[in-house]
Amino acid sequence: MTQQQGYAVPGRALLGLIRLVFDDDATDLIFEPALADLQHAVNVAGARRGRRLWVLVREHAAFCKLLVIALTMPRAGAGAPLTALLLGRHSAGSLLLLVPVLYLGLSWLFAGFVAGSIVAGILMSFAIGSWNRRHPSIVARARRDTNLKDPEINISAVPVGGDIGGFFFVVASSAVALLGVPGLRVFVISAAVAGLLMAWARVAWIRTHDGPAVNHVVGR
Amino acid sequence: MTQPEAPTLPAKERLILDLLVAHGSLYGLELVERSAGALKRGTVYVTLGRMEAKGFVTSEREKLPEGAIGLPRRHYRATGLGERALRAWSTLAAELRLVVQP
Repeated sequence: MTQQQGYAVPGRALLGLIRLVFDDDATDLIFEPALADLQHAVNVAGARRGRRLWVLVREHAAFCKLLVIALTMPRAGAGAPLTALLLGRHSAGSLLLLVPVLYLGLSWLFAGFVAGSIVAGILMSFAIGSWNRRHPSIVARARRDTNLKDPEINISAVPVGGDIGGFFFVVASSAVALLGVPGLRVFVISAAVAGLLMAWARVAWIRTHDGPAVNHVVGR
Repeated sequence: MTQPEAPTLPAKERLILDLLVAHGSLYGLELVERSAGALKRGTVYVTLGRMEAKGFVTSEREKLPEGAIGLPRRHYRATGLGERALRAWSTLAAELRLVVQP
């Protein structure tokens, strides 16, 4: 193949990433031929900038689709389905790389959402870290003079009593579940009704007895 | 005794075999262009990889001229098994058509 003067060969960086994630068979049989044809198509497009750019975008979009298919289809030549491939080889690092790639491969419409989520997530993590340094969380711990295990993650110590933030969290997560999985509607609504009834019964019981019970875990 | 599993021949694989039998040897992009929209750039290589694993097609890298840059393209051709599978499918399809429309 002869390459147009003054232009870099496209696809080299992509091939490097592919080699990190996929096995040799998948690279040889699926991705290398695809990238070779991508380079050929770009080369045939010639030196006209507009035409060349259009071919580059079109071929890279097709390559993203190929990547998604190879990742998600068992026995596609990629050696393993997505979960086994990712979790078995590079764990969280691959997920961080490939989740945005999956979104972009599905549709370029997600590009803004993916970029925004990454930037917002990074900013939010810095903000939470900064806040936590200035206002360290007080976590309930078991007494050291007992033989009991330290509970570490202590859900009962999270202050949600009368907390409007907790209420919003519950309502919003329920709404997400209802919108995302319509089959859960009956379950979520039944659970909400049952929860309200239990709360009403508990308040009624506390009023007729000696006040609220002491939370022994938080009180330690 | 269990029978060995017969290889399947989905529609896209039949189309690829048809094109390869008709034209001899083709690159992936040429298959896409000659399929009149039935094969897509994003899926043809996965199908070809699967067909190569089944033994229906074989492929070779093209020889690049001295000093050429870029990756060598891969050209595909149907194997004897692929051609036999295509013939068997065509015969079966013709028989089924006769049964449905005598």
